[in-house]
Amino acid sequence: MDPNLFLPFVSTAVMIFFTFSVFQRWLARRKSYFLFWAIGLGLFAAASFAEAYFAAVGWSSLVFFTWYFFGAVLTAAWIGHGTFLLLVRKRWGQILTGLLIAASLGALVLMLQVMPKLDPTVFDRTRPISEQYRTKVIEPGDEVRPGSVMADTEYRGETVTVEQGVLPLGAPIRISTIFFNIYGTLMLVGGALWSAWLFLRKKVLPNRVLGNVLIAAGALSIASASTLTRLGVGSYLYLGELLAAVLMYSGFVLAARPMPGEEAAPEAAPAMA
Amino acid sequence: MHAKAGEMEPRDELRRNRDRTPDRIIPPSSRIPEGSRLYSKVLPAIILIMGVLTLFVILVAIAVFIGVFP
Repeated sequence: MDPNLFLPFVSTAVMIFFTFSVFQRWLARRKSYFLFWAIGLGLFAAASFAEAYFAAVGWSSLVFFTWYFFGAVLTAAWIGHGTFLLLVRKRWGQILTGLLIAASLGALVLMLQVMPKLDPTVFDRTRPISEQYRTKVIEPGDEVRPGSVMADTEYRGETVTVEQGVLPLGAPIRISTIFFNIYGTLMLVGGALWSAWLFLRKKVLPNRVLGNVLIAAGALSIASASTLTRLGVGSYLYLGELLAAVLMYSGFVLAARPMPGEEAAPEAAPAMA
Repeated sequence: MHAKAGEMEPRDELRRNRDRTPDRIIPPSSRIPEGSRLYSKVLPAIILIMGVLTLFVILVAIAVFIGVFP
């Protein structure tokens, strides 16, 4: 059995637990970074569920919207922004929060514009959606996957041969993903590594050192899998997501666990959750 | 209101207290053991490698975006 058919179910289950844990912390402490983490993790869980739905049931435009907009566009930036809020002064946090919300609304408009142009006829539920979502130009000598739908199309005044995907060629929403994901990766991985380094330098709280390293490793695994997907190797995305879910959740549990005899510290939050 | 010379601004005092927080509230059982190879060598190396990897992943993503890779 192809692991890509069941990996999203496991990722979804882990992410639901994870989201619930972080949301409970927000309810208890009302810190904005917990809220952004919870929202970002909830988006991650929704995108994983969309992958599970594609594998189990088949095509749905709404589910594609969930997968692409929540997963590919927003997730990393919203989780990473939580880390940003934890590490910077309130004023910068407010400015960047406004920018993130405005950019997310702009991306929503782009996503809604592309929805009527989706091509569901190329969708094959036995393959991961990460291998089928993008339409790419095929140059002479490029390898083409067996079963791919090829077509000639007009693009920027030229006729090009493309491997047809669900999203049309040159869809502007794809451009937005790079900005959201670079911001999210820098904040999430960078913030977790920075926090781990600070605790290491002060020689305190080994659980938070290890927890933050695990969180950074999880975030790096999904960032690497996403970059591979952009390079056209989408078959590792689901594995990267599962690794990210397990590593980040383990890091969260480890970092949030009080050490023996430890009092609650004012900034007792790991860099991610 | 400004503090007189020799007095601390409330914000400075808060910062000083925050900087001292780990020393005041972290008991010895929560400190990283002295001489631990894991915390003195292995984890710093892992943090450094992960930092470099992160930059590499971001650079590749930017390269894909600007069309260096097809």
